[in-house]
Amino acid sequence: MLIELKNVNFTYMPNTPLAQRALKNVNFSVEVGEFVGLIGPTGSGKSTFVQHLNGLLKPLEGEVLVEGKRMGEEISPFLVRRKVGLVFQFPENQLFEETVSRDVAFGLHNLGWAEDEIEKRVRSVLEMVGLDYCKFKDRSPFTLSGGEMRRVAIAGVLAMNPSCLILDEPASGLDSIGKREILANLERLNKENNLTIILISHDMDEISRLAGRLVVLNEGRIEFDGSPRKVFSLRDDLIKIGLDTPEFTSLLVALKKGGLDVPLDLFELNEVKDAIVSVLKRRGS
Amino acid sequence: MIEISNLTHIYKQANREIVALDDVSFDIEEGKFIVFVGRNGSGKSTLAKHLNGLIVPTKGTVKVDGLGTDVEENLWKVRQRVGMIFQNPDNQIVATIVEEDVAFGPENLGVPREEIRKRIDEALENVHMLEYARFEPHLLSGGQKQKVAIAGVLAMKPKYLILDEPTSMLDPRGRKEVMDTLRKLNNEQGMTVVLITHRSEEAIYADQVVAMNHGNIVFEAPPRDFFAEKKLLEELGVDLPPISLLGWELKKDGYDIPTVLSAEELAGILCLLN
Ligand SMILES: Nc1ncnc2c1ncn2[C@@H]1O[C@H](COP(=O)(O)OP(=O)(O)O)[C@@H](O)[C@H]1O
Ligand SMILES: Nc1ncnc2c1ncn2[C@@H]1O[C@H](COP(=O)(O)OP(=O)(O)O)[C@@H](O)[C@H]1O
Ligand SMILES: [Mg+2]
Ligand SMILES: [Mg+2]
Repeated sequence: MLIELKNVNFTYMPNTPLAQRALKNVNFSVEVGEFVGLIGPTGSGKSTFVQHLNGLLKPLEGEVLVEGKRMGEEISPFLVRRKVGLVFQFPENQLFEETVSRDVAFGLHNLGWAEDEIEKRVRSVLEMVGLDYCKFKDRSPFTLSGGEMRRVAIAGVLAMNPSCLILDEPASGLDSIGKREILANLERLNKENNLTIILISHDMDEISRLAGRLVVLNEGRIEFDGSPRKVFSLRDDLIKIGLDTPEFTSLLVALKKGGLDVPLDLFELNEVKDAIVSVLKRRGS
Repeated sequence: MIEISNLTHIYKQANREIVALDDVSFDIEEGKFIVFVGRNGSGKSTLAKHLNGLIVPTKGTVKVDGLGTDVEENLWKVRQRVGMIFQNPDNQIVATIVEEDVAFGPENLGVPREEIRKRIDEALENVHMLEYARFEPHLLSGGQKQKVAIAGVLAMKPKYLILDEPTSMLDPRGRKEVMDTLRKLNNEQGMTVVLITHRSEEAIYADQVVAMNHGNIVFEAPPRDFFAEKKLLEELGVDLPPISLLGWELKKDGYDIPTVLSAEELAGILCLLN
């Protein structure tokens, strides 16, 4: 098990009138190589949750285990932060160096790496996010497109060689090309490098196609945890807590109501089309 | 009407010039719901900022009800007529109580006290947030905050509402709340709405969808005609709604499907086939 939360409770400003219970008895574990989608309405505790996974926040009650070691006792939060990389929302706001390569190398410099080692690593992580090293290394981050800037920020986190990458809405505000680039990249990092990925997203269409597992937070509790097929079959429950299903699910539900016997748990355009065609053919004959 | 005539905008930086808008002409008529789409950097935000005089043309003119935005004396009147909402609700709320935040705009306009009270209630009612009048904004969800920001603009009684990616940070319910509010303001009160978005499903309510590319307006049409141009939109980096794409695929397979925009619409058509 890569990371485990056991009976975690967390409250902001405890013992004050402003106390805010943000995580309630959370149990969760993630294995190496999983691609987990984390969804939940605003304020449901997603950011609080992921900050527990990388040691930025310490549970008020319960414990966090990383590679089986208790955080704070058997493994330091500092080390955990390197193993579990967190990419915040709008990470391009955190780019500040003059060139792309210096930005990506920032953490490595802090660790005191030698220049030639740094160069090798920067080259490899830029390539991991699909940016050509020679073309991009000397450019100013501020002249890049939105999608490119985000990928530079992600490369900076990858440079620390994490075993798990957590991203808070990495595609928000990007155009369709930028979005596709980022998401295709994450998919590749997961499949080819076996990198564990936890992705926070408000886009049900996007997450249904990427994640192998969905965790739904609501009011600080894990409400559902399962495959996208299973979770999105709970359409009414999701809508009640302010979420939604992918557009294709809405379509399939409407078709079923209209008397076409289609399965409801399809998310890819081709599989949805095939299901519709086959049911129409059956009806036509 | 907002008249944009031969508008060019050039950002000057230390060693280079960026042409963000290149000779754009476009009229925004009263009562319309216009959606702008286009890839990052195509000039949408730059255009939006011209509509209430936040920035002024390098060349050409922008006139709001005949008032040129490049004339200093007009700015006050222009800003009163044209309300602007941005992406991040947190950066737009200034006060610590919702109703005080909504009062901020009209107070600055010198609206009398009794009138302000009335406007606050009306504006909050309009976005269905009246029961939150005494709330602290930080206790609200993203969608609710964005609606408070909209109420703050409505309290100034603008004729035109410009929104630059107002839903991009919101959860599904927040997006729906904001979109429902915009449609209601446009339908029931005739408010002119100009919406910039990357979400094609938000464009389907527009009277007109406008695509920008490299600082130019390259294509405009009502939603159904707009999303029928699959190839062009792909070149422009504009997503088709997933349901429209599915409609295309079914059509390719020989089914008689027109351009569809929503799941309900496609379901209705498919259930009636053969
Ligand atoms: N720094 C903080 N201080 C006090 N309360 C906070 C803080 N950060 C978050 N909260 C509260 O904790 C709850 C969960 O917030 P968060 O984890 O940010 O949710 P999400 O990321 O799902 O929007 C919310 O009620 C929020 O208002
Ligand atoms: N303040 C600024 N200074 C310099 N260049 C800018 C500034 N704002 C935008 N630009 C540039 O102008 C072009 C258009 O940007 P923008 O209007 O923000 O596009 P969009 O909103 O469609 O993403 C881009 O090339 C962008 O980099
Ligand atoms: Mg958050
Ligand atoms: Mg913009």
